[in-house]
Amino acid sequence: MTDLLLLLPVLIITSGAILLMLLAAFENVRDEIACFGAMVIFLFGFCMQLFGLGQGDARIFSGVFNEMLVGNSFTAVAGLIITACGFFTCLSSHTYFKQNRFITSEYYALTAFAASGMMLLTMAQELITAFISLEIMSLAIYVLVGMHRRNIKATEAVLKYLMLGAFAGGFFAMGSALMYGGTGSTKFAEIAGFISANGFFASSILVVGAFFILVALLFKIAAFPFHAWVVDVYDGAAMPVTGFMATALKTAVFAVFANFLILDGGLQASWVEYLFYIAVFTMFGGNLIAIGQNSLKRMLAASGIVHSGYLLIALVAFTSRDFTANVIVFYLAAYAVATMGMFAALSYLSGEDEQRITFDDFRGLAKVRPFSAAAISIFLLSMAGIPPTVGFMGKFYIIVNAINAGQVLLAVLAIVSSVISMWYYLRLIITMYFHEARDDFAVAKSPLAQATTFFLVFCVFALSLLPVSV
Amino acid sequence: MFEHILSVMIFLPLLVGVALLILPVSKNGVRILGLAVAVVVLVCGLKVYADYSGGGGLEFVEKLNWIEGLGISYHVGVDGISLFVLMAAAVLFPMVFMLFTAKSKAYYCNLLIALGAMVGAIAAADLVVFYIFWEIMLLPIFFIIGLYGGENRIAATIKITIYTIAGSLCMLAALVYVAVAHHTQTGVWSFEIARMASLELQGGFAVAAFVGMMLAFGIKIPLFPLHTWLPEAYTEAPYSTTFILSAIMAKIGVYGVIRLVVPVFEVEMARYAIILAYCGVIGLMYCGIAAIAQKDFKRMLAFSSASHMGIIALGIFCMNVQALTGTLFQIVAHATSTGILFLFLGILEERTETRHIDDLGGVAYKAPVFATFFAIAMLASCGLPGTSGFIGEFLIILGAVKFNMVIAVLAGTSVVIGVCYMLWLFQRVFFEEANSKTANFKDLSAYETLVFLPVIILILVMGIYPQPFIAKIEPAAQKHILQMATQDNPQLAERLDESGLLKLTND
Amino acid sequence: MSNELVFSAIALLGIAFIVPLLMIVTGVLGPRVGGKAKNEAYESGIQHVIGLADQKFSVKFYLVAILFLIFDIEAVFMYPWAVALRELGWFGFIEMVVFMLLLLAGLIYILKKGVLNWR
Repeated sequence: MTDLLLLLPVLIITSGAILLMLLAAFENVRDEIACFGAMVIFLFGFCMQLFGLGQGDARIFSGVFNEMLVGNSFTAVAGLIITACGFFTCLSSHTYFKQNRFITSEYYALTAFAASGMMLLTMAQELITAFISLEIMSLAIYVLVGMHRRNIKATEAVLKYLMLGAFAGGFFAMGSALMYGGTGSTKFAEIAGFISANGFFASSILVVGAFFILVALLFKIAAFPFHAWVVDVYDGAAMPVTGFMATALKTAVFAVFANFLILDGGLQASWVEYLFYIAVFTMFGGNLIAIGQNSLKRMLAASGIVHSGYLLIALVAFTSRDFTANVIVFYLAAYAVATMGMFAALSYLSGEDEQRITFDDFRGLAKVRPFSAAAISIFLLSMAGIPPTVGFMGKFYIIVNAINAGQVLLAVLAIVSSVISMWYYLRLIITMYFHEARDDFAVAKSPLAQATTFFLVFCVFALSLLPVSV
Repeated sequence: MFEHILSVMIFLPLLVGVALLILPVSKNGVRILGLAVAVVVLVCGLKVYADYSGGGGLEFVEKLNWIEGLGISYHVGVDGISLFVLMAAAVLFPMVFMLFTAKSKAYYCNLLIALGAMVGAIAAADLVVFYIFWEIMLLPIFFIIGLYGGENRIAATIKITIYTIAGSLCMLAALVYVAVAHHTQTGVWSFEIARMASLELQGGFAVAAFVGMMLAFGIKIPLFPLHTWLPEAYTEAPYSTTFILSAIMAKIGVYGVIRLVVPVFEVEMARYAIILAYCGVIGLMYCGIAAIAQKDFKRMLAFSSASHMGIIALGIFCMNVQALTGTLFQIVAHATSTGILFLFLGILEERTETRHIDDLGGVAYKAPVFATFFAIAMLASCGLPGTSGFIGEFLIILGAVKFNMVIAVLAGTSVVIGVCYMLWLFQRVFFEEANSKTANFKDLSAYETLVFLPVIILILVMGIYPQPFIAKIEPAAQKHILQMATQDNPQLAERLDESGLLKLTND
Repeated sequence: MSNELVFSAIALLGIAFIVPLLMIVTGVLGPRVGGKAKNEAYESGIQHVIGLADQKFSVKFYLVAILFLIFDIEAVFMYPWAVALRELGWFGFIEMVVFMLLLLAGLIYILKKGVLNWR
């Protein structure tokens, strides 16, 4: 029964996705119906996930699935983030596609398919399952990125993403094969057992395999040195899709990363030294890219790289299984709330065909739309880690975790990086508040994206009060 | 109500500030409501002051578990040290609603948020709670300077924000380091400030954490090499905000050093106090000399304020009871003198529409009440006997004598610089010939006189009969120093003997 | 061991001999019909291979090919299932029904979208 409860959200989202796909096949079904259908599905999945929270640690239907999937509080919270992100993406898409008319009803089905892949990914305890769910997710995302077929930027984005993503997928598959060759198993737990029994460097095949898998995962989370694609891809994708990618996709991949590396895989000790440098370069590389951007979307993409760096700190600084897992998932939630809110706000503020997109376009927003400007400011402050927002608590936990694990230097570097990142977050606030408006900031009729934005503002504060257990 | 009095003082302004931002209330309505809230905070503050028993421990404690796993709780309380900073905030705050009219209602809302955050930072007894309020404090200032400041407001607001946030983030790392050290030493997670005092921190990281914390507070005070944001921010901010920055926020920096740095990092403090004390003295001299050279009276007063903060900071680093008592006393004295001067200058600029000292003259003949009040605040700021400034600075220099003769002599003589520029300013603005700008200068109205009168009386009372104030301060200061000295720490005891800091009584 | 090596060497030689032989034989015996269409390079139905990289082209051929691939490969799963049907029992049957239903959903989608209509 517990097993079923833990699996139910994935089942709901998957069958919902198929249902939406069939719905999309009927020409007379309007996009709006698909949109509301997707919302209902995501909401239902979210509630079921909430229900399954705290149901304990279980290998789901280990007889049937042969211990491929696991359900625990870590995967449940990651699932909550993903379903919530899916839900909010649908809401902001509704508004966005009032002003950008290139939607087909498959959009929502693809979103749900991607979400189902992500949820499976968080639960995966085995390399092949992880690979399959990674590809379910990625394929749907590729299509979503290239949804705007007539737009040259979207085409460029999807081409880049597809090419590099296919390589990453190939790396993952190759790495899995080598891991299997090295350890005789594809299960995280058994690989960990092998490593603790024989040592990591006992088998060179294992080392190469682990390296390949790390490359694939680092690519997906946009960590240095595999971060170059992210700016162009985010730039080309539609606003809600970018938001979905930045939040849900990152959550899913980080969950499997954490599972693979530390929670069940036991690989962390062998890679920690390299991950240290990767984390540092990811933070500072991301900052360097972000400082130079003029487009908000590109800035947010680059700041996403920086946040990946902070999350990598939690992977490097491993204290206790529970605390580190909680820190990671809390930070993911914190980042998701702010980023989702940001993209929801941009979904309705960017206007017809995403005409407002640079810093300058948002000049004086506070004079015309004070509430939207306030909401954006709150999201930015949360990303920058200024209290009393959830972003601050996330960063606080990361730093506590890092210092507690003895990684004081990493914590200090994270702080230096946050100081640098203040510049581009503040820059938008300054542009919105301290300059005169030139635009009337006309927005679409649909109020859903606005509602999402303001609900997420509430979440930014509410979630910051949520205590994390050690 | 009374067991939650501190929470009321913190959250009432915060919540009302945010609510008024959202609700469609007129500008005047917001101003009146803001004043009402500030008065409620003042009344609560007076109640706290009256009921404070003076034992030296935390009183009016509220504790609510928050993140139990890490031992973080919403924990506030007041002791002798925070009491005076709290009173300075509560007493002076209503004035900013009374005197100047702002461009829009958001100004008053921001002020209210700042008030709540400041009270929160002062009353916090938990490191995380302190940090959160400390950071919230900055946000309204950022918006106020950016929205309502002068010509270079954007540069000024970026400067103050980046400086302060860089400092704060260093402090965050230091705070977490201290809490983690507490966990490793005792096995218990806690972020309670009082518990951190028992820690024994050693090694390079401890020094780094000490430096991190000193950076945060040093920027806020501002201590000598970190003061470069101050002239811009003070000059560009509207007068009432400069007043808050100078009279209250800078004091919270001082309070932070006394509260967090001194008890936790006794060893480092003892080792580096001399350097920091020199920073204080150099700041006192440098900013004083810079103030003489200014042509813009607001900028001049900004430097003057920084200069006087140097001597207040010096009082902490001497680490004995006299100096600490003097510092706490001077916190209120500086707020009521230099702080108030900003408000006077605001009135001056409002009526003459210039900030150039040389454009003015002869105000004293046109506005005798204004000139008298200004003179009293100015003389208190210079430390003339009979005013509050004298007692504080005298105690600090007395403490400095025990600490280091050179510093004491430098500090004592540098006070004269303050007299120089203040009197020169007074001469150029209030005496000499009246000109076209000052010919029609109106004196303080009855309403304005009434607003300023309590503060002027406070300056004189604190100067002539300081005993009741010192009686409240001294036990706390004594307890603070004792706590530091009696900690089982031979290294510290040695250092204390050398510089004679173990003399704890107020002979 | 050596037996296997010898056998595989013979097989290799046989292939090396037969393949060229067959090619030559077709060349000699087969009829030769030239023509414009036949001499053009075949690129999965794209008419003009030379031109701008981002020009539009018909995807009909790809679609059919990919659909064939999907259904063909999925059908392969049924062979091992059929072989092990008795051991797997009802569980295996239900599994396969679920699998078939998923495929069916895909098929319905394709049909409704008119992908199979050759336009």
